[in-house]
Amino acid sequence: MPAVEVLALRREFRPKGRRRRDPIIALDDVDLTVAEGEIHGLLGPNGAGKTTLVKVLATVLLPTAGTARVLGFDVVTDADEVRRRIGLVFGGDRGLYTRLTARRNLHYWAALYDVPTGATAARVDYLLERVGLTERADDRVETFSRGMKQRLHLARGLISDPPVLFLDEPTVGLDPIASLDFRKLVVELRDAGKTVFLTTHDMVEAEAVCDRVTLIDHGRILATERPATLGSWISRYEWVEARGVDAAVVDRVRAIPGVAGVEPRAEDWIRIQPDADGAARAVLQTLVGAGVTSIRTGFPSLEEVYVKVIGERGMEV
Amino acid sequence: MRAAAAAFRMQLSLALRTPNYWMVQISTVPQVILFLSVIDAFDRPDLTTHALLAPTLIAMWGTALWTGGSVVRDDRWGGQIENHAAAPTPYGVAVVARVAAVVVLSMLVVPITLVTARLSYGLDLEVRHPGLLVVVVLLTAAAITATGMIFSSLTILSRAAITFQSSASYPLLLLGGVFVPLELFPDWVQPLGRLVFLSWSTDLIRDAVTEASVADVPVRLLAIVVLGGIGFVAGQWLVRVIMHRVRVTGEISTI
Repeated sequence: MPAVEVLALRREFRPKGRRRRDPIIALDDVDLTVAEGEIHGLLGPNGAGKTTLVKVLATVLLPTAGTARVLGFDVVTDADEVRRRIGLVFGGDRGLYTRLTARRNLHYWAALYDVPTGATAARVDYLLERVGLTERADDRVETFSRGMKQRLHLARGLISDPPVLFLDEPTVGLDPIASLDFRKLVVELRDAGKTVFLTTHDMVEAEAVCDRVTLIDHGRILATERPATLGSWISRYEWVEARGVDAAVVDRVRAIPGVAGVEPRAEDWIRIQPDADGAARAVLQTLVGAGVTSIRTGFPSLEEVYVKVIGERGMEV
Repeated sequence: MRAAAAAFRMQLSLALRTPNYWMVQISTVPQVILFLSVIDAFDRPDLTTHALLAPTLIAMWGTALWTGGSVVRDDRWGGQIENHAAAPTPYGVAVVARVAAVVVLSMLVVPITLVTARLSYGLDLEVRHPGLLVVVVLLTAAAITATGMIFSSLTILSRAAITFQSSASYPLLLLGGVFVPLELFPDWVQPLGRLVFLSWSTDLIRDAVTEASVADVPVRLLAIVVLGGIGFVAGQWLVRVIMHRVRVTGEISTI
């Protein structure tokens, strides 16, 4: 049974105001399956529909059409069953009772998630230790840095030891070391059999921790693949770099059908960027034939995939 | 039940750390002095109970409406409401427990009022039926909690939540006979006032303090219980309906 199963999901928002306007389509015919024990990344720019999808799966929002199930339970008709099996973590520093201590926040949510009374104190202590907040457990959250609040969010999401965890932009505000530790924790959760569904627009994060990544934009799923497969899916963008290439050879390379461009790089390297199947092979043959010996190739990073598939969106990303 | 207890404790902690909360309690002191000064100026010691009851109930009701009302509003602005929406415990349970916490704390105005009366005018309130008084005050607190929950949940729907809270306060206090007994209002107002639990509470509290014999106690207590119960059911229903609505519209979040 999949941990998450989404079929033809649609979510619209009706703009407020007197003028009758068309609804905003946040999710459009979304199909998605996440296997149990998988870390699944949802990758897309701001406004792509990532948070809306998480909110629908976490029963915070109702879908306009289509179905979504978590561990076989429908998010609309079996919402209570879904809620008992999920943890939800939003990014940013909202969502905590900042005048209370970290410990009291966790005790409160433990009660709301029906964590047995006898197990609550130990669970809270364990989570505070795990997210590195033991020393500050009895300090008010309003004195925490954004990163510390984010770690407390994560502890809150894990309070009931849920089999499925939804993380919405979980590393927003975390410093690089905390982000690294967070990724380690996510992998540990997967190793412990949890399913983790995380949204991000951080390619490095998606590439580092996800078993599969779904690209989404304008509410539509563009692709779902393993990070490496996703790279090969657009292998036509496999780049070739070479050093010490004569200008004449560069011109010949430039003329190969399917070569989108040649860019100079540091230390006399050039990067050849194909944009058609088979072009990289032709480039390699040309370079080797010309006696070039310093050659390297590479698949596009997830970020490059992201840019190629979704396109440049400047500040919107 | 455990979730409700946790919500109750959590709200107590929040209230104790929120200076604004204590303003309602502190404002009782000048109100008591004001009301007693009017009684004193017109030499009407027979209205002392009215003068002490008004600021007490104003403070309790005000706390339920303002602090209790802010429970949902603050959760929405602070982003906690989405976490509640995804939690297995119904939000209504947390809301009623948290409003109850602030109402229980607001009962501190009873000793504050009595001490103020003693220190300012040397008054010692003699209570004819202390047992009945305690029962009525507790039932009134429960009914205030139930009704406060209604207003708390309605703040989600109102864009001008503070204006809404403010305008909702006085009609209920008037109809509840808090400022002046209901029988002093025009005839057509009195039936409306009888639909408000506060009118039964205020009458019974005044009688418990001043009357040698209090008539129809069971019926009057039942009226508070029934009207408070209707408020509770309506409040829980409203929270459910409103949470469903904001799940549909997406207005659950303020961002």
